[in-house]
Amino acid sequence: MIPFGFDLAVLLLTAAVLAYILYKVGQPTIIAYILTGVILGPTLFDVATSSFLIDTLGELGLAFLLFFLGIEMNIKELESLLWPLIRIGLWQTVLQTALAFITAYVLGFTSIEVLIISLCTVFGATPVVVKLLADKGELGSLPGRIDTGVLVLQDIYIIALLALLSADGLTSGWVVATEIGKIIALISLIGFIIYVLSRNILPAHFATVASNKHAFFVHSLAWAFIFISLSMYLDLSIETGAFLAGLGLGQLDFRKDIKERVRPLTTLFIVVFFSSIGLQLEGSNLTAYWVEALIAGTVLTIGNFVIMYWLINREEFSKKTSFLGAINMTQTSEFSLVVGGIAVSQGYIGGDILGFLSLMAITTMMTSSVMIYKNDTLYEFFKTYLWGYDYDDDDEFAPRKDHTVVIGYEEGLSEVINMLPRPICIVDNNPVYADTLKESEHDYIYGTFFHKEIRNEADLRDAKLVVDMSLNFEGSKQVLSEAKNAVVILRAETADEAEELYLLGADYVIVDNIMIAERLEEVLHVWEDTDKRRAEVKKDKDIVMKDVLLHG
Amino acid sequence: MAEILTVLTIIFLSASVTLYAMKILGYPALPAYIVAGVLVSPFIAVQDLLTLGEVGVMFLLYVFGVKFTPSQVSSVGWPAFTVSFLQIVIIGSIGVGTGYALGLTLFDSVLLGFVAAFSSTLIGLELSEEERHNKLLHGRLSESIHLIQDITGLLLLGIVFGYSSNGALLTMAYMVLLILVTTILRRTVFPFVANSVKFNQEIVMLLGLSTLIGFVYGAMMMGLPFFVGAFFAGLASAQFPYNLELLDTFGPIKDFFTAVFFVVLGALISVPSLSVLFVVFGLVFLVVVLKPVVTSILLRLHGYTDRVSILTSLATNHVSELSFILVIHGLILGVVSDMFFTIVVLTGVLSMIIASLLKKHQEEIYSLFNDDFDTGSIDKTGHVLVIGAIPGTVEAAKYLSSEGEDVVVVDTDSERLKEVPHGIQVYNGDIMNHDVLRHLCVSDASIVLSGAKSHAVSQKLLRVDGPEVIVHAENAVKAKQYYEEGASYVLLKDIAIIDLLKEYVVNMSEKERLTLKERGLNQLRRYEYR
Repeated sequence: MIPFGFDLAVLLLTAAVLAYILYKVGQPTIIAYILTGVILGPTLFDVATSSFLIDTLGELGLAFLLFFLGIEMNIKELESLLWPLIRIGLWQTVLQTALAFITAYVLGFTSIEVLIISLCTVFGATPVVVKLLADKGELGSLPGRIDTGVLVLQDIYIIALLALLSADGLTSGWVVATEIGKIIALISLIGFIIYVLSRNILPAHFATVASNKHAFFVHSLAWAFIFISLSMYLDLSIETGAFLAGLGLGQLDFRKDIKERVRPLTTLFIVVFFSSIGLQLEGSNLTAYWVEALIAGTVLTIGNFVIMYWLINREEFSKKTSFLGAINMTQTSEFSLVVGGIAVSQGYIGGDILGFLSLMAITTMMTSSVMIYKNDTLYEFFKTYLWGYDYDDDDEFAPRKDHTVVIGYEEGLSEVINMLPRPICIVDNNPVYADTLKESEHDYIYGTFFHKEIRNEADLRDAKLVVDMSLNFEGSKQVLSEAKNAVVILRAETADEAEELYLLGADYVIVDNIMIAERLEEVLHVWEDTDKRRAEVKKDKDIVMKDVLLHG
Repeated sequence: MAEILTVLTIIFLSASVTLYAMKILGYPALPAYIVAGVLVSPFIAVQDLLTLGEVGVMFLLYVFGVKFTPSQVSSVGWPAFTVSFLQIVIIGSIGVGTGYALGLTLFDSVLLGFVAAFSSTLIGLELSEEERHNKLLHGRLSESIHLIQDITGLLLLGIVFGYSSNGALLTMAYMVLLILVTTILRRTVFPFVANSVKFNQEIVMLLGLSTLIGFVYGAMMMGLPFFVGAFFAGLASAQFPYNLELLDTFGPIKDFFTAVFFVVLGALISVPSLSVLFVVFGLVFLVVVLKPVVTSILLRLHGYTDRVSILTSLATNHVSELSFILVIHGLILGVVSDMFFTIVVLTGVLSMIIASLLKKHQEEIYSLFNDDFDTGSIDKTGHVLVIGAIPGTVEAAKYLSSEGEDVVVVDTDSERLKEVPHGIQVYNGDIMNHDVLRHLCVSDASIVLSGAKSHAVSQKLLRVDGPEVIVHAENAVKAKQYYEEGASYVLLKDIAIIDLLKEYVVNMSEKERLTLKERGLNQLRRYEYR
């Protein structure tokens, strides 16, 4: 009695092997997953088919990916980008559709085929872009924000397009307008509800459950699922609901913790998602128009890059931002398969055209994966050839250097923490201290140091001093291995742990019992001498009283 | 697609509601999921969810395997083993006997015995922060007992379910094979492969997943239940530092699927008849009352004090998740009836809730049974009582003794007392016990120095009239309180840390950095004796 099907098991095992190989040759893992589907599916060996579980996990993957994206997005930053994004998105659609139209026409497809093709290939593949940027930690960078902003806008067009294509009365312009209007209204409504809730109820609610990690996670999932279901019932895509739900949570203090908990789930489901794309392909149809697919793929890749570059640069962003933003968007969306599928079922096009679209999608996804993965290297290579005006945009969050990192805040030590060499970055995961720390003058990261992204964010490698007050032995070992250039002060529970930490390079290890013992001894030495004793005890009492006054 | 999304929404929504309610009421989390399941059972098609639920079991056991550290089991030594086994045998037999008396089949009675005897780790580890932080004896004891029981229970389940496919001998052989393969993978293969992926979370996750899939299918081919395979997969993957990465990755995945599992568990319960409720109450009594009594007696016979015995038993008086896994697997295989399933799940939920209630009032319960066989009165005056044989206080005891003071070191842990240097009198007893305090002549002592981290202990000592009392405080607020209650001095770690940081770290030069490390190492040498 196995809890999951043979198909899924084979899929995951193959994906693991291929991902390992691709990782070793320095390529993005997405390629491995797409290839998994192609190899296992009807195209090659035909050992696995898309089961219910696979489909479900795949769709969930997409939803969670957008949920993740929503949490990552900062609404305030989006606001300043809103109009540039709308302009870029709008013109990109128009220009890329035109380019696709011309290409398809030149390649000899019939007029309805040309129409469907140009509609399908205009969209960038959100899963590819978001996943790769998230893996590289570039979602928050300026090009990342531009790209994800455009992709989100595109997702809204997609919903409208899907609704229109599936509808039967496509003829009237009025019908089209009402469909679009309805969609925008619904999305705004959901957005509004989320906005209100996230301002008023969510922060308090989550603070109550924050102490239990599991409950916390369940609540976040419940929140996401509510809106996923809601948007499903309203005939909007589940991805939209997930994205909006993520946006709602993105305003909370706990967003980093939520993100880190959602990340592994997303990763797992996305593996299934990308594999399932390949599983759905019909082998024979793929090769029907392979020459055309290759030509179209090349033309569109270059053309889309040029279009995006020009549009972004036109909005007064730097050449670097324009380059990076453009190179991330050169692929065709998996959505083209979905639209193609509907078009086939409605009788607009034949299966061979769908094959053409699929081949284009897969190849462009793979090539653009590599390009996104290596976008920095490509920029360095091409930067002297770039045209356009080089505006100044203040993009990069200045990385920390030569700073102090304090892990695990202790209220009793607040005064002396303030005396440590500046700038100070405090990492702590106790919601009780969140407000105090947010208002302090220091950098504050709410989260558990256990999580890689948070360690990266604190820039351990470049720190000069690390004081780790958290009693996390394994975590302390990680700190020692990553903070190579810093003075590292740790805290351990036992002398044995302390010894091991010293061997691994710690500069000092605080062992509570030993610290207490030393101080006790000082006091006991003067115990018999009333005056001296009183003085020593008073020293301690003063610190205690001061502490209590400060923190009540 | 639509149905499964709706179902998942219902599951997580109901779970978050019940979790919230339980948190406010102060009850543990696990029963909340089951309650949620009960509430939503009319709305979901449970049979479809069994697969997802079993995936939850798979990840639950995988993560358990990854987390498992053999050293935790042996930290308190042999007593934990003997007590665990004896308790399993005794309570198990009572359970089987009860089942038989109630007219259940032999198979069902054995299962009943299993359910009654084994205690869970997940709930048990919800020890209070104080207990875990201070590594109190009863905390370590209950941790060990839980782990031992979980391993034993798991192996037993493997044998029981494997028996039906293979017969006893072959099953044992397969288990041995499994253990061998796991050891090889854990020691050599996994570290080698994992090392070459250098902490890429995604690849490590796929690696872990492949191991899991491999073991689950392997177990299936050996006729063993899949969850046994999952546990061994976890064990195989668990070398440091990859286990951290694995826990980081699989934690949320496990949480997702186990949430579904426990809700499904609740949803599968059928409405209990009166006779079912009767059995449930009987079982609950067995688990929540009889079992801790038996456990404390066993611990007492091993020489542990009343306090340690009672507090440990109060942490081992509920039903293990293994029992849930047992009945759901049995239900799917058709060897467990709906009625039996309901009995077990209801017993589990009730036992967990009652157990956590009892835990909250553990001090009161302890004082009810407070009649230690004390080790005799010491009949002294003007002596120094040092409570807690821990590095800080033992050093102080040594010093005071060398200054000519008459020192007695008191501790509940006889192991710790063995580390006290010869020449200093020791006393094995629990000072929360008023008889012990009397026998120690506490009111006639000159100084009482307590290194005990427990708030309850500090408060009790401060109420004693006569000696000068030095106690340990957890934070500044408690320290202030203790001073106001008459403490002559309060031990607070913050103070020493602040001093250290001010002196060495605030304006550190290279020379000071070396001095600091030297100081640290010297300190260790002075105060360390393990």
